Amino acid sequence: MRNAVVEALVTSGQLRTFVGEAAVLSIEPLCGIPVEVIGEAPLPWANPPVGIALVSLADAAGSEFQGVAWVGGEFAALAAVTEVLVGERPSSEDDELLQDAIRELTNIVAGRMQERLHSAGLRLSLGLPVFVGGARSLNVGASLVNGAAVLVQLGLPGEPVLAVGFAAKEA
Amino acid sequence: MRVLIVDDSKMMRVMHVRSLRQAGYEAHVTEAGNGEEALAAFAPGAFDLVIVDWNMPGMDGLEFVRAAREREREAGTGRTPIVMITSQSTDEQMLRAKDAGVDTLLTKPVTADALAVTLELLLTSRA
Repeated sequence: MRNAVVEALVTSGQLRTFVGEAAVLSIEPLCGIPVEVIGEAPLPWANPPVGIALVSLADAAGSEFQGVAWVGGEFAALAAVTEVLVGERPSSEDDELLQDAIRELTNIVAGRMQERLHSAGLRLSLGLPVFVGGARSLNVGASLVNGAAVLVQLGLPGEPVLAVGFAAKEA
Repeated sequence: MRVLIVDDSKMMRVMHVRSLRQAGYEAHVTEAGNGEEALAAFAPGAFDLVIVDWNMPGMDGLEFVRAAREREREAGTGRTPIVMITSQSTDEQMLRAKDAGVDTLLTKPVTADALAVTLELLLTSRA
């Protein structure tokens, strides 16, 4: 039933709108920079990211339905966001500063998605964010199928791009 | 002002300290990474303000607030102002926070301006 709600949101394009709004309303005030949704990111990702942070959203009513919200991208984009937030440029995707910043950003994005999905009839509760980098992110990126994702350009030098999305987990 | 900041994210703890300074508060900050650490640091009357994240591994923010309020009741002291920060902002969440003893619930992302206004209202009303 709840997977059907997600499929309807995907088909109508509303999920893409939700994801884009959640991304902008989270990143702009947190980072203090302009951001713009510049397009849709295909699922599953053709070129999985260097790093990705994910938050599970479980059905608050207790069914087995689970969704996942995420923020991911190449190192330059993840590092640019981290530098804005922390004031230091991380050295790699293994840097705890980078992982902390992207986890926290994803947590906020997931909260904004939760509000929008609630209005569509999905009452979901958030889990704790996790960061996946390196080879493991290839598997994670490939598993994100039933949902929608957008590309978000950051108003920073080099105009780095993040991918932000939501998908229902396969039953 | 003596402030206890409780958040599992080091980045958020740094941002809260920065926001307090931007808002003009000269804060002597104690940091904790989860509810257990916060409870070890907390004593009734020891802080002028607590800023605590809701979602944390181990003891979460809500459990910490309940335990802190219980200590205050046992000690017969006044209530320390507690600001809870969360990424979830449903009506149910707000009720749960209020029942636990949270004074103000702020939804992330919390800007320096939003924190400043909140503290002005919260701390002035207690002065």
